[in-house]
Amino acid sequence: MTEAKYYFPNRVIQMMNVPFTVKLAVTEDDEVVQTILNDITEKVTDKLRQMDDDFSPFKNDSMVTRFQNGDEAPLIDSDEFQAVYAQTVIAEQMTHHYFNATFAGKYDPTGLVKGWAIEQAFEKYLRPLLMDAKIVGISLNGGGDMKLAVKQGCDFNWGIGIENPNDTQQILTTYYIQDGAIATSGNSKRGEHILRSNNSEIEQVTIISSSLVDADVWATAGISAGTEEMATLITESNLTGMMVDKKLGSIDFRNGVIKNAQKTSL
Amino acid sequence: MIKKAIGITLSFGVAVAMAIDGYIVFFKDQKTNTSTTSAETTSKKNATQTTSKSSSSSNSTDSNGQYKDGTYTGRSTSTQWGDVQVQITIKDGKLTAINVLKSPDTENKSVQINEQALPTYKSEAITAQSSKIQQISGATETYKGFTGSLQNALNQAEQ
Repeated sequence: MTEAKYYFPNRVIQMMNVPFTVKLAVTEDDEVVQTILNDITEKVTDKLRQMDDDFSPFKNDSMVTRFQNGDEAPLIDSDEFQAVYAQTVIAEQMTHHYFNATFAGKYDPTGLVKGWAIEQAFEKYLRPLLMDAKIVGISLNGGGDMKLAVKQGCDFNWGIGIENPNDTQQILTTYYIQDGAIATSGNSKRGEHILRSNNSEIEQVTIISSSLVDADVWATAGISAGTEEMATLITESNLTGMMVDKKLGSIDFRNGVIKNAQKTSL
Repeated sequence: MIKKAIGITLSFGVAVAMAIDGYIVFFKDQKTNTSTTSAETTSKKNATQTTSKSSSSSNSTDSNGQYKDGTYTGRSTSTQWGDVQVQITIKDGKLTAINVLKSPDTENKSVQINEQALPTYKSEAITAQSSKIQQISGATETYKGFTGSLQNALNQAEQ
């Protein structure tokens, strides 16, 4: 039995100041697949642009900016704004406010919107592609946070390398996922939406979940919580993933159980 | 005698109703609402008689374009943490309360999802050049950083 050969045609979209990669796993990379990929990339781009127009705090006429300026209309008229608002409130509560949707005293859902946008675009435009005989896998990666799926009954797994925060050309480990989401937060590159505790030695947090919003929220909360507090949250909320601590190194956890705890003093 | 009996029954009934109301307002709300405000009682009572559809805004504003007083309950949205609804109270033309209503089993549901739909994975040390990796998860890259990133290298290699 020979191992099936897969091809990974992809497109990169530049939006919300991050590169998004639409990547398929196909058994044959022909013109038909390329046409489908182009078409889907266009639709995903439009969806991401609409989300950016509606939720960017940097755009004067976005719903977020209007809401920040005291206009309650978005909260009453827009289903999408309501959905985002409700999720930020739940996210804050379940993470004991280590995830925070307030920036400089104003409501700012930026930390949640990208994951929600990926989730929406993925389910609406990418998921149906799995009906196509040649397409075995679909993925949408937005700056290192992604949603993935494979055709049912297929033996293909997406391989996801976790970047080493201290050397971005190296990977620490690889996860193989068929259907789910993975998000990583660090403290070195884009810290403006992450509030860090002073004594935290945490460098990076990766969370695997069925939902990207969930994974993203917990990864962000982990950086803000710090290693010791995050260990409590991992147990409390049955989290799965890994974190990197400056002193303790890599710490794996699955379903709320920290695996290599004997090596650490947690 | 009969009058007295009716009186007692009635006041007992009222007491029970008050107790239930009190339970709903003060106890149950703490569990299901993620934020509570002083306008809570009003919004709860109005919830049943006000419009439950958010997009029907045509009759929710007055001639000045201001929102009419009342409670507006948004459409129920399903999220990874269960179904949620946003409820807004407008008083004297001002937004006085925002409540997020969760389905009572939201907390439990999220745990269930975590356990049942958890992706299967195994981890191993492997080089980025391996053909077994198609994606890189790391702290969010900016545009400038993308050019030299592993993700970009993987994308190029697989075109």
